[in-house]
Amino acid sequence: MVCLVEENSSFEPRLRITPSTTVVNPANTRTEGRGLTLEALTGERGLAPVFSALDLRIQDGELIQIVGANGSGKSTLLRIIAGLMDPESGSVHWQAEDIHGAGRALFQADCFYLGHKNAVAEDLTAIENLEYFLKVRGVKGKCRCGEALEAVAYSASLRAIAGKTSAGQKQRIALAKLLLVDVKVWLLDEPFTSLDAQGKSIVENLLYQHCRSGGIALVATHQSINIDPQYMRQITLT
Amino acid sequence: MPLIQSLSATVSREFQRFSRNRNEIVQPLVFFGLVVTLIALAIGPDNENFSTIAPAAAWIAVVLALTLNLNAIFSQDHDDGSLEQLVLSGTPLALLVSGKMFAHWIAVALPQIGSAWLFMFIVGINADVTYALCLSLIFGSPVLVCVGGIAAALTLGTRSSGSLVALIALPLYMPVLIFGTAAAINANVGASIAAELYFLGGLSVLAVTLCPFACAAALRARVAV
Repeated sequence: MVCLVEENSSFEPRLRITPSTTVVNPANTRTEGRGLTLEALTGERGLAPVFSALDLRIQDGELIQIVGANGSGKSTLLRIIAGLMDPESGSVHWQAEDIHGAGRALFQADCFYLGHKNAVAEDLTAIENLEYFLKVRGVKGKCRCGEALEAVAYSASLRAIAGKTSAGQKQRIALAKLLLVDVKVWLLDEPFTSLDAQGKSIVENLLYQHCRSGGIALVATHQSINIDPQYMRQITLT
Repeated sequence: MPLIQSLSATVSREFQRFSRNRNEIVQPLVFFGLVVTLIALAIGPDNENFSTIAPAAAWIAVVLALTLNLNAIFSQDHDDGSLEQLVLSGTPLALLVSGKMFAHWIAVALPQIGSAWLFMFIVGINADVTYALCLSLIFGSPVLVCVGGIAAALTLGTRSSGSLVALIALPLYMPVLIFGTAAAINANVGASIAAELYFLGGLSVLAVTLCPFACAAALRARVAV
């Protein structure tokens, strides 16, 4: 294990990467200008630091599983990378652009974030939820929402209001969005929540297909992800 | 065109929600009815000043009824996580906020104006005053929704956000209330109501133009917490 926190950091190291890792030279990564790069990233929740001086370079086709105890900053890290929060210090670069600066729009167009709230409006049907999501993202063309729901094994009625379906079905509606947007980066916070074994397997397959086609996924979860290990790295926030 | 598509999708989504949660429309109407009834009972319909007081009572009732469910503009999206998706959608958040506030104005404020007209009719206020009241409400209510939207966005996710919204929004409603009731009072004495309507119209244009940006900034700040 390699600690990527600066040794003179003011508090305990919080990041370890397993099983292998590369200490990133920020200058090199920026000139390469590919993939997603975290440079000396420090995140706070409230006024308390949750992780510090995090360096990480994620290449195309990689799945990064973020693990760690409750409160270790998994969700905060994903929210910072998504651009919902600003980091206390450090930066996140996508295609050599700082996503909290000039590269925000570019990254947002290339990224899909699913938080631990599933962003499913309870008083709309599954199709209405997906159609609205696509329209707001400016996705053109015919909506293939029915096919996407079928692919994630959504089994409730298409006419059912989402609020009347089970938590697992709502999570499947949220996950169907993955199939409807053509983006390079998936940021998923506890995507297996409320899913049964079949649902988990479907998500793992989606992740595998995404990484195989050159996509990047960061997944915060306590559960194991069963996909080909060559695509996967795990980081532990402590 | 994608922006127009996003805007129209937001408006129609809000209408779908209102059609499935009719209590969000009905509750403010009932509240309006209760407030004007209480005021009418308190001052007595035989009071010789009733024709002056009734439009003011209607305005106060509309202001309070609209304040009642301002939280609903954003609270559902905040609770279910949709707000994060809207922030990250790439569509200007101010545009989506405009769509939500427009739908709220149509679904909640317009029925209130209808109720105000009905109230004036029931208590026998003359048509000119009723006309002036309804016009002043049409011109002034967008300000109530837009300014209230900022208060709702600022207090999103906080405890007792309902009372906080009222504490923030009600003082800001004073100019609208003053000019709105002045229009009806002028109509009662046969004076022109043009100045008041111009003022309310100007405020509405300002609110509709600027408030969505303030609202969007407040929502981004709340999401970042």
